[in-house]
Amino acid sequence: MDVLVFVLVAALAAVVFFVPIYLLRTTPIIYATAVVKMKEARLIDDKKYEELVSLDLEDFPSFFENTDYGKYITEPTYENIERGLLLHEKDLDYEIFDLVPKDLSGVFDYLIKKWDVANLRRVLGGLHAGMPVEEVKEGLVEAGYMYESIQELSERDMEEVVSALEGTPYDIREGVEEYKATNNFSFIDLLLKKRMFERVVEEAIWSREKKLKTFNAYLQVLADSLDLNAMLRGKAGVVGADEIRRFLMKFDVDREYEESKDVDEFLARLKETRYSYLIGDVGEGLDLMELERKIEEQVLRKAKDISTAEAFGLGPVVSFLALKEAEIRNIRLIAKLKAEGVSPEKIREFLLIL
Amino acid sequence: MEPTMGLGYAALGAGIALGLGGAGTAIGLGFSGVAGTGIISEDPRKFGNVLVWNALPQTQMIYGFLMAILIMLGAGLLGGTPREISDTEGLIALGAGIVVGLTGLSGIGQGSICGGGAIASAKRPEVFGQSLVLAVLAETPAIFGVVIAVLMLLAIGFL
Repeated sequence: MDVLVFVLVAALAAVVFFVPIYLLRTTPIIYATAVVKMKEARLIDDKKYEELVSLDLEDFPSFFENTDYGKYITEPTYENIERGLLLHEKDLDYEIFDLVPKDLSGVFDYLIKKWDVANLRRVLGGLHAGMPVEEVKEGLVEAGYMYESIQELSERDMEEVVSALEGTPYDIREGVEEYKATNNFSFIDLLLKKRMFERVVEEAIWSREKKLKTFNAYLQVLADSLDLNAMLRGKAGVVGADEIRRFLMKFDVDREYEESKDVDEFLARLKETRYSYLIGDVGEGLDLMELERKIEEQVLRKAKDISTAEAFGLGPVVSFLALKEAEIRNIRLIAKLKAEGVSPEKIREFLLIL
Repeated sequence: MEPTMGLGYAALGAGIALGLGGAGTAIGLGFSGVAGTGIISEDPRKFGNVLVWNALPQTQMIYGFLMAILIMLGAGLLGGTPREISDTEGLIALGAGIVVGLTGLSGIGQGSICGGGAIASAKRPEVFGQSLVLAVLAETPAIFGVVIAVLMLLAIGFL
């Protein structure tokens, strides 16, 4: 009888002690999952996209009035819409960063760091295009960890900015050589993205959290897509394997890269490599923009798969971020093409919808 | 009347029935409640939907409560006139309490399902019915537990 009582008390103690610990670990994720699922329910669906594509730019503010974009898109101009989308994205990133469990904030920090990259891109892109300083500053978003220092950099020239970034996580000296030789801003753009990614991957790998399994899987997909886009641009721009290596996270298809005479041949050879899942059934003769859109589509599919596989973990958060990014990209594109007078039929071809 | 060991076992049974059933409900509500707060933070109009999902895991605690009352009634612990219960009768009453208490831990699983159901039906109202069926399926261990416990109490004349 004493044994029975002991066993019962031990079982009770186990339930009372261990289950709340499990609950404390899972509860923050459940809350974040519920919030992002509700946000996902408000994403624009096919019918709404059809409606948006057929509208004029003047009707955009009223279309978005009762949506999450309502307070950001207030004027029917492309500049206001683009700025509104940026600010909405920034607020959302900060909100999601606050939502995720604190023990994962080191990894989801990328949601904040990405704004340092965006602002640096604005400054460097402005210098490349010879934009006035005031215009560059107006385009900066008050976000990220380095906003004030980047604002100051906007008043300097390219050499000074590159020199100021030396020794920081965004050291871009490696890409400046190629940039100077070709005057192609893509090299700086790619390097900035690589630098941000390297830091995110580092954090995720060092963290031994099992919860990050989903996030790491998605990171791998993003890293692959980044590298694939870089290699395709490199191939189209006739950049050698030794040069393109600097812009890649991982370069294990150097033979295929070197031996292919053009983008189509390179894609055909990549179908036999680990990049095949990103290329899918892409045909020949597509231009870079179409190829990048196809790759983004595959990334989005993967994000959705990851979300289904881990319904109560980081899966829904990861998937929502990918879907939201795609939605913002679509709205920006629709507005831009509308402003340029492109027909709705043509606009539909460029949209990223699953 | 000197309290017997059998009375003690019966009392333990009553405590375990409600204790474990209540733990199952509390933990299950932890899941469904947190999901519910996430939902209503985004859309307060979904409160009604969330309330339904948070009501379901309560049943295990109700079964535990009822079983505790029945055991205490049978043992004469309610009303201040305890019966003289043999060790065997006491152990059977303990067994009845344990079965309801342990099957009441299904509230933990049901709470998880309810949390998921709340999120799914808030996003897509058309899946409310299907999600509800899944949540109700998690109730079956607790129901079987109550049935067996009642049969045990009937066998010893507690009911």
